[in-house]
Amino acid sequence: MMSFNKSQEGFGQVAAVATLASNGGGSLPWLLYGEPLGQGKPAMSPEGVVPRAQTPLDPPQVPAMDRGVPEILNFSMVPGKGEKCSEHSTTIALQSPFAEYNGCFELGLGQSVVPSNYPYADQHYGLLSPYGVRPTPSGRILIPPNMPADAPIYVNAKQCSAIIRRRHARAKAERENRLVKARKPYLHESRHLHAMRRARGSGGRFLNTKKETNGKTTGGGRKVMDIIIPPLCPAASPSSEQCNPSSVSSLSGSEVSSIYEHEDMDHFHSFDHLRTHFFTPLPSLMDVEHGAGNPFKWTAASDGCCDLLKA
Amino acid sequence: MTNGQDNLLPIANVGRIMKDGLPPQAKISKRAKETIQECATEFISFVTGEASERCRRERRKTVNGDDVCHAMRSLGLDHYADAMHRYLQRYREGEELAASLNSSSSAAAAAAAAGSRGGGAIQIDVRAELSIFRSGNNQGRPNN
Repeated sequence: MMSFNKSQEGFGQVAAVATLASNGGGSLPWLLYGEPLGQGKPAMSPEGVVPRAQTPLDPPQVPAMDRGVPEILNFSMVPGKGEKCSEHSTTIALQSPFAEYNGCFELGLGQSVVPSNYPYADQHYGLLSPYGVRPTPSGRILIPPNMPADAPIYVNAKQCSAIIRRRHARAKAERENRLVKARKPYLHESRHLHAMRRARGSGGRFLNTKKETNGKTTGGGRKVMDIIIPPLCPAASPSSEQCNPSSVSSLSGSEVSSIYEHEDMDHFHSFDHLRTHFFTPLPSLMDVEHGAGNPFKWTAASDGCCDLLKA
Repeated sequence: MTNGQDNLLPIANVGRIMKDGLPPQAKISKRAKETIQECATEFISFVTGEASERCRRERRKTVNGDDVCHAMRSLGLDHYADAMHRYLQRYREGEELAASLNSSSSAAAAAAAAGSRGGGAIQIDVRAELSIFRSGNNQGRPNN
């Protein structure tokens, strides 16, 4: 599997729903480009549905209008070029929210759009920060703001339609209660109960566990380990010191029980193991190669590691 | 499940990937993992939404790898599109190799077939395909 560590779109935790009213455009395709600008105007009064505006092309800002006019003219003049085809696809993408509310509505080039006054909820996720310094052929365009008090946000022109579509998708998920409202400290009740029943030492760490290290290994070995032992518990990473004790749940049956006499000695051994772990990555590599237990679980016992080192 | 956590990426995998890019003694807070988890999930939905929209326009029902590459390119994510294209090529080569191994070992013994299937699993290093990792210790974001 392939995964990206970076996100091209930033969003915060602000979750607010506002009702926006959209007016259908005219019969000409160049009028459809004014839809994002038209949506910005009703956002000034989110309390109710704004009636149909007499001039849908009235822009919130003059520079945005100046930037939009040449693009519209280029689209209407030469619709056969590749770049204009992408603009055409953008226009069709802009129409897709209305198609959802009008049912199976097939849209094509030059086809008229039925005027509609359907209100819909837009999910707000804070500011969409502009990113990237590479100039695109069409430059930056103004995106309708999430909230009435938001400053105007300029985004990549290629991503404007996708961002608006994502807003509608998030609003739909919000209506169906499929978004993350409040995070639960654990995902599985049975694992949580099992973790609460386990004995804990000083500092809250679990007792009666075999020492498992999570050292830095090669990528290939790590990927093999991913296949063998898939991690099932969130917040089980040993790098997180703010881990909630109630959310620590381990795989039952994968621990080797052992008895320790002094809790203070266990505490000292845990710190000693921290130093050993950082300065000697080779034993952790051996542990990963042997596949002993769960290598991604952070434990406080160190006698097992000492035995492995001696052997 | 009632809450929406099943629509997010597994947080343990997110934490491990974040740890790979940091020094060994670094600590990652739980809040940071949750934030990156939501950002990565939103990015995946952003790209797959564009790919799904293209399939809807062309009246197709299956979103394949080429649609994802084309979606990244149409969104202006050229660096990601190039890396995804190279990864997709190597992934398909690996699939063909595994299929050929399975077909060649069909007449062999069961143990040999099991060993061959085990050997057919090809692991592709993802980070080697990204340009930001190729250019040394470049901490900057790729340009769009």
